[in-house]
Amino acid sequence: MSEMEATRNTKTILVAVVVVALVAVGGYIGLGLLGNIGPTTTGTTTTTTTSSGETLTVITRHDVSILSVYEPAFLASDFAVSHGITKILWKTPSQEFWEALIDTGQIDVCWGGGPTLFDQLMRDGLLSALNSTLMQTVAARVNNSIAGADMKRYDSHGNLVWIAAAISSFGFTVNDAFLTDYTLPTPSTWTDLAQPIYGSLLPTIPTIAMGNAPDTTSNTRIYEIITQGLGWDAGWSTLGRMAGSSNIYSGSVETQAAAELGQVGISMSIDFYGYLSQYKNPDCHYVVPEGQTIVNGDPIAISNITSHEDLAEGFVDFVLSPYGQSLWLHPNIRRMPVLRAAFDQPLGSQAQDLYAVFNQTIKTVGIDFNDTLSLEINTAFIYYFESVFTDAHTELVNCWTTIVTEYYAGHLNVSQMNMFADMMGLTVTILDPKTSLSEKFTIDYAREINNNMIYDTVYAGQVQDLWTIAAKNHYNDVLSQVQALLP
Amino acid sequence: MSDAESRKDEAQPRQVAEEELVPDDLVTNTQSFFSDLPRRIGSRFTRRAPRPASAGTGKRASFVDFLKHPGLRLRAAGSKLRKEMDSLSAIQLTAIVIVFSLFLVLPLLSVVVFSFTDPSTGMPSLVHFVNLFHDSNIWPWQYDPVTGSWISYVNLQTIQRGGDLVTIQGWDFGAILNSIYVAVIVTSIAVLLGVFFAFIVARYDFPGKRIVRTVLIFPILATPFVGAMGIKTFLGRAGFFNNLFYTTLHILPFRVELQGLAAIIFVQSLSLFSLVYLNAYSSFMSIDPSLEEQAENLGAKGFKLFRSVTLPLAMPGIQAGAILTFILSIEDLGSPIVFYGSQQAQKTLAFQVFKSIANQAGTINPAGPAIGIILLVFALTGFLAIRKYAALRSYESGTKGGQWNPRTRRLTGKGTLLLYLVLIPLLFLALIPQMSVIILSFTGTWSTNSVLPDTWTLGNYAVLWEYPDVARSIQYTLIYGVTATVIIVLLGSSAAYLIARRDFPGKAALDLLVTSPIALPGIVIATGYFTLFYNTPFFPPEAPAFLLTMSYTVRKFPFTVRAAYAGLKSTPVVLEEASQNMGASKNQTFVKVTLPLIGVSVLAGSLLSFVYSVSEVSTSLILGSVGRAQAPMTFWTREILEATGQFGGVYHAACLGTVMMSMQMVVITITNKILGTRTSAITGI
Repeated sequence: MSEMEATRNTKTILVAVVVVALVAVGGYIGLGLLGNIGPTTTGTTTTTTTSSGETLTVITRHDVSILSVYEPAFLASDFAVSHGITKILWKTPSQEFWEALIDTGQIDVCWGGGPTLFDQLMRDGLLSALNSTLMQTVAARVNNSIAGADMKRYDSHGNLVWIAAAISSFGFTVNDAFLTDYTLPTPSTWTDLAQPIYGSLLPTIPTIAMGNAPDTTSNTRIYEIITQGLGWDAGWSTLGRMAGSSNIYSGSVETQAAAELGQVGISMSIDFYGYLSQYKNPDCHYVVPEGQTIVNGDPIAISNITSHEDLAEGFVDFVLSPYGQSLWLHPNIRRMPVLRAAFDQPLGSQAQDLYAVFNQTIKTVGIDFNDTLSLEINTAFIYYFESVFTDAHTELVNCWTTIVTEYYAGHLNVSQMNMFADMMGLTVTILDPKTSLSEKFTIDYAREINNNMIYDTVYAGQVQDLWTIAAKNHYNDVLSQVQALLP
Repeated sequence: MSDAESRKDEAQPRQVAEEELVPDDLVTNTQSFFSDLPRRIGSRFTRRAPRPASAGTGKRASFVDFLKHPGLRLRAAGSKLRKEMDSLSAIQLTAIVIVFSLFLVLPLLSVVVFSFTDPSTGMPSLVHFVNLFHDSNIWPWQYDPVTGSWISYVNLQTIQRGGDLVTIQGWDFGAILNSIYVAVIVTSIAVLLGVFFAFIVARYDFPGKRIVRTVLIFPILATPFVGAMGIKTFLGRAGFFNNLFYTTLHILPFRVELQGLAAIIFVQSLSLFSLVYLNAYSSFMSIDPSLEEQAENLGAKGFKLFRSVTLPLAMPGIQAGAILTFILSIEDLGSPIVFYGSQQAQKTLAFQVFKSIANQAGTINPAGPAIGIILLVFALTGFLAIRKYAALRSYESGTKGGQWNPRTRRLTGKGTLLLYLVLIPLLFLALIPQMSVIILSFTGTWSTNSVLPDTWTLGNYAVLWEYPDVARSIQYTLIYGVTATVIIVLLGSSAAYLIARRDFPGKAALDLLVTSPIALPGIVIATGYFTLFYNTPFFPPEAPAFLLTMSYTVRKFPFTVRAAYAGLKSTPVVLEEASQNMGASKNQTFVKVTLPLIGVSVLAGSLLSFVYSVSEVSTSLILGSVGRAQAPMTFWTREILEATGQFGGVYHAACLGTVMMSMQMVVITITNKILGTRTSAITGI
């Protein structure tokens, strides 16, 4: 049969399968060899004794640049050498897996991830009290608060459970090219972002990037500060205006990227991401809001079920020593230490620009932040934000667009514009699914339902659905009222 | 003879011809196709309407009979199973069932069981499913108990203009309906594009064909996370296109941006059409030319020939591509995350699952897996619908154990020009994620309104040796991908063989089981793996290698199964029967006759399995995060993307994306080299 090619036979297929299998087998042998060279894969207990020494297990949200600087430095320290620690096992799961991992008893140290996460761990009893003499000495090196933010946390029994190991400030990254394209002013405070000018290009061009609260602890802290600093009602009203002028993104990286890529002109920013954007896109610069600096202490703590507390304490001591703190200033990290003494170390002398920022940050009088309140209402807070802003965003933007458009068209005066904007930002009222009572989202109500929002997922889902529908109807109602006034 | 009589005489043979052979031209055929369409659609319903009823009655009767005589029926099923199952088939079936039970069903159940439990009572309940319909973003028609009326949150506004920007988005009917209509549109576009290009490449010779054949596969090369950033870099408000045509060249009077579901449809269509292309191309190449020649001898030409002979013969491949496209569109999480900024993009089922599971609240909402179940049901319904429709239109082509020399024609100069006018812009758009990742990997700085980067650098690639784990992850990824693919080929061809060639109780269930993994949200399976296996021999702390490999095996299994199944559907069973008549055992027949016959299809599928394995996200992230030393490249891409310092951020992460794409291409090329000329039927390289 002339149309048939002679090449079709079993041999070619078999050759292919054999070659692929050989590659796989070779790969596995390679894997074995790599396993011998690289980190060992043994160990089912917290601090594993390998043939060559002890292993410390640290759960963290810090990234590879930080871990790759700290690991060799710690392993070379006198403490690690004298205690035979030869390896650090890093575990970097996302937040929903932290508690499960700590419960397995395999975690020694918890490090990095923001105060909200550590407060939740404290609430669930997963952090050890730092009561030893060594820990008290270490804690004494750190200021109790910086720029209004607590650097240490005590549980309800008065035990110290975490200490800040680094600080971050919050502000916004501004894309100058974007603002110039649309002749928008550069904001200098959080409240500037609530101005109608930033909604003047709606509905097509949002000018701000905000992170969805349940997906980003850093952005959540910004929103909490705004509601605490400006007051509950004014804070939510401000957030409503900002969200109306915004695209809402998922995590802090996506939020940051929006300004970096020129999708928006301003994004909520944590300082180190702001500086990174500044480097990658020359049109971007990081702004520290005037008089409204928000500082976070990024915690370090010890798991309450570690069986090697002494080694864990040694690591905490190392991180909070002047030398350990100076590692934040390493060229591959460049983050802000919590101890001023870090700048006296060799790495510190090479980071004078960061020293200037550090001095500016600690001198700034920021908004005094109530951490206890934050912990009491955090889960209700983030879900409320998501329900009324992220999940009702289409209706919110429609409402805010109309208010702003009619204001600039001269159909609304300033006081009318502010009145409707405030009306739009009012917190909504729902019939609580458990009590069937009509409940407005107040601090008291948030405090009351916070535990149910954490542990009763059915209830939380129902409440969120009700908030979203209430918010959509509320925005549509305000929109109708504005339209009724128009000529 | 009068004119009228002669016309009458001419008309009579034509009527006969229409009923039988139809030797007419393209225009007439096209006209008759469309004019005849309503009648044929109507006749499908009227003619076939009784079928489901009778089938249903049959099934009901069978079920009632089973209840009446359970012991008898079970014995009968057992006896049928024994009769159908020779030793090889039994081993194949057992292996598949064990692997899927351990690495799909159990992890899934460990998460999904919470979706069927009322947490307040601990009793089985559908409360999570019912509650979903109270979410206005999932189901937009809500009853307001205060006013006693129904309120609709459907949004049909698609085009908006403001400032210097025009935005285009889709209709918003809530997550459930959005996912379905997006998948239907994406599948339709992908089938049209995929079949068109497969046919052109299979049947025409034109300058540059070898390159086109290769480039048409590139859209399937996936680069998680950085691909998303790349799409924004090209399609955003200040992306490549707007900066070129609006800011720089001033050709457009305004910027244009696709948002929400419109953007998702655009991106998915232009990446998934390659799947249809790859499968349809295999089918076109395996059509017996004599069948088409016979049709031509009988007068069928042009579109008529294509529609009535070529297309039905290629249907198994097209069906395989369409099924994969439909399911991947519904399951796609990457696109909604890319376009998250527009709220509409969040209103898809896959995103709603993700949102319920991954958040800073530290709890997994059982509503997430519940949405995952709904997603699975829709995806598998689509699978069954496509399979049923395509099965009615497909025929065995009888490859007779060989590869045909294709019937190719030379494209005219004008035709070639026209082809390239369509092809180049389309491929450019389809390759945006891949091109942009490469550009980003060489970017030093990139200003907002600049068409291309301000400065270029090779320095970003230093990230590959800055962190030892990153370099090692390349090797691990390759090992996981290749190992998983070898297992997939062995088990996948077995599964396809059992489904296509054996008749045993539960065959349909097996078919659904082996196809379902791509319809299951990865994050649900990954969470199940963590919950079920962490700290067990399958997943010792710090050693996720085995579980990652099995995860890739199970999750990327369907690509090979569907391709192998398509191959078997195109191969007449008489060849295997002939082999057995000549004295070969079933085992010998499977190894010596069946496998070689479907080899090309299996390899086409296995390449897809490999490509999608190495770019797998969900289990790689979750398992990699607790076993970083053995984590694959996708995990490290994300780590680098989120890292600070001089080796962090998107430009460095793009380097890993570029390496991943190169790796995928190298494996495809090596496979092709090994197989020599036969590979033209797989990938066209």
